[in-house]
Amino acid sequence: MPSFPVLGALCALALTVSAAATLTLARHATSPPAAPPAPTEPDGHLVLQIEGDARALQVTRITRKPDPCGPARFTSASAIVVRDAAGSELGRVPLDLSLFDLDPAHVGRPLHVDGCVVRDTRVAMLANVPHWPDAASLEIVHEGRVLGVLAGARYEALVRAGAPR
Amino acid sequence: MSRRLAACALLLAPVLPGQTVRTIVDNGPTSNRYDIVILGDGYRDVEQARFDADCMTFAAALFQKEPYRTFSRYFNVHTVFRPSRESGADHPDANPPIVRDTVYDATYNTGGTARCLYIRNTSQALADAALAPANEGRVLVLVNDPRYGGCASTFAVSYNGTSMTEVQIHEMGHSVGGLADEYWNAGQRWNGGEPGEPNATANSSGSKWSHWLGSNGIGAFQGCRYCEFGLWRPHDNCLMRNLGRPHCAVCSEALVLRTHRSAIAIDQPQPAATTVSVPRPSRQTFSFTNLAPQSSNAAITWRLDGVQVASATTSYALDSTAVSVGRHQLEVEVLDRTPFVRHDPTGLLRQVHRWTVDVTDARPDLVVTAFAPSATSFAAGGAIDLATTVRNAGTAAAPAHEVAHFLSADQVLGSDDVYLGSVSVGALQPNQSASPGRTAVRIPAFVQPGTWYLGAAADFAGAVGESDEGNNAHLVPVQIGQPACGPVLELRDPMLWPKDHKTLHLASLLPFAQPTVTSRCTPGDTYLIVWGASGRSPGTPIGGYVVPLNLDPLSELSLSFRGPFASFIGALDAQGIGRASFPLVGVPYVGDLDTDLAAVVFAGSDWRVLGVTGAVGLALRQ
Repeated sequence: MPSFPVLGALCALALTVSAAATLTLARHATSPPAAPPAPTEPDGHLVLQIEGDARALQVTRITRKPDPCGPARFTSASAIVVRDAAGSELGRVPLDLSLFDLDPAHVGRPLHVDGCVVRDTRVAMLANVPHWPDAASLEIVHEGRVLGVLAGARYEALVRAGAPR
Repeated sequence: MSRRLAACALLLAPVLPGQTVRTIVDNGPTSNRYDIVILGDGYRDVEQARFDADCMTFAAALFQKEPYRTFSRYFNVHTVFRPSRESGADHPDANPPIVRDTVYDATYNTGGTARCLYIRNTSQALADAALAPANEGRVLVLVNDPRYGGCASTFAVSYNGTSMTEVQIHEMGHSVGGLADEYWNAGQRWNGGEPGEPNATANSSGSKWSHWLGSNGIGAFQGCRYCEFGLWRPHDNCLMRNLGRPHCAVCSEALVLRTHRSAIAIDQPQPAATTVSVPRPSRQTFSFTNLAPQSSNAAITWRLDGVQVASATTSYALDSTAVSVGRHQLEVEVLDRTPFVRHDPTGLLRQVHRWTVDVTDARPDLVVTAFAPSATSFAAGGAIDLATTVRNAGTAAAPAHEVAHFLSADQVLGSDDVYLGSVSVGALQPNQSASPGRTAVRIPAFVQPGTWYLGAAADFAGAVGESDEGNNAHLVPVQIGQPACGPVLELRDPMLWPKDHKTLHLASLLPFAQPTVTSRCTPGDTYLIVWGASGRSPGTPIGGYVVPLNLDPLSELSLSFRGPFASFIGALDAQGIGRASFPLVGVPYVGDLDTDLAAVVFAGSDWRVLGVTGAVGLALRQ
């Protein structure tokens, strides 16, 4: 049984509670929007051995390096374009071919020496490009022309062969 | 340079039998250095020490020569040794011709020029150069032959005799700097246009290097690039003309600019990542090593979102509380004001490194990531199970909290919505999820049949300060059908103060109960709610039914319909609902009291008892 003081207290009550105002809370379910896949970061770099002449240039060997490549802070009419399997460009690195004779009409001529400067129609050089794990092809362009493409199984084989041992 | 060179702390790494790769000058990471690679040709395996000595001699001499001396920290030097079967190089112009079996097939008289010493097996040379930790596409070759000679293209080749260092540095002028020879053949005249090399011009005024004219011995001297007439050189006697001379200002400038294609003053920036998350509150220091020589008096400027925030320092501490939450751009710019360069048309000496800085509030963020009722169509008055998963998507731990379940008519939570109960979730670390298990909830009989939204709301009480307070709830549409016909008494729990609705805490701000009678099959008839504190058994007989409540003075009080007993008697509305209220605001606490409520439904016409509800407990507490 309750104590009578409680009853007395209850009897003394005549309070009402006004209708509570509506509490509107913006707490709807939300889902974060689907983010586009992040571009893959380069994993070290590739040293490309490039050989050929004004008609065609080939990547004949690749050596993988664990460190990032240094900056290439110059512009050039020549470049190496790195693409993924879908053909999207992952990166473009300028290429300095200024030491070679790239006049197509001179192809086949013996090298020319002025003083102590050799000008050869045969290109033989190294170039560095970042190694994107998603990369599937390399394209060598010169003055708007594609002089060489390395892609598919050949690309994969050269990258694999050039992996650090 | 000299410390590392003198110590000769060599990185010795045999790569393939017969090949040795060494780093003889190591000034830092290859990703920001001009990496010189030196090969040797015509050195037998027993002559490797000679090759090593030649390389050290060359490197020491190179970094005594300006501008290499001033910018020595920008360079690494690597060597790759592959032994040849025989010493020396081919001398096809000797009588009889000398032929040597060497790894890169070095030969004099290349292109018919007797002193032009160059290599023919460039494929093997490139393959070996690629074994060095890094390269810049230009490769030096020292040839183990005492006959004077050298030549340059991709490879800068020199003999290893008395003038080896001067010849090699001269050839590097071609290979690295793109410089022209400044000597000439007697009587030869230039008939072409403006040469591309920076140190040769067809303009007799020397305007090509006008920024140097009149200083450092720079002028316009006729005779350059193999022509006695029609071409001018910048200095009377530079290293590109005669060995044993320094580079002139124009040639030095070209070499410094070429070096800055591959290496910049901003070295090893920290943090290394270009996107940095900085929680509030904290300080994040950004820094770099300044490679610029002291003589460059480099100007350093730090900018945050384009506004200068610091200068003349290689570090900057970002106070995350001083900037807004969100993404910011921080950049440091170094302008190398070296006296070696007066004209920098492509801005190679102005170098910038940028960080994207995400300033974040380190707060938890509770999200209901999954919410699954056991049925999406059910009758009012029935029970279902709910499965709920809560994830802390924030950056700080969340304390234990309650997840509330509710019914909403319109997806906007308000006091007209129906609280169904809650379940406890323990503390959650960032990215941690918890599923408190299936929770049984009863759907009140008074819920109007139709479409509702069944919801789960993490931290509905708002006890956890979150980075996003607007993503706590998850709603699922459900169909609710009619309840059974018999009368039901329930305590309606408004969403406004979702607590344990079966307990009234008198000390709380709003001790308030809403007894609600539902009798869907008898709209318009009369309901009566009775209160008591003397137990439910044996109960009180009435009209052939038993009210599960023992009458006592509290019952009499409630039947007086005065004070807080608002609408304890009334007519059921068109939906068969009768709503009462029981506010106990300001009631002093005297002791705990366990009470019961029960309701009787009468026929409005003749007071015949139509039904009796079960009892609902209501505890009064402090």
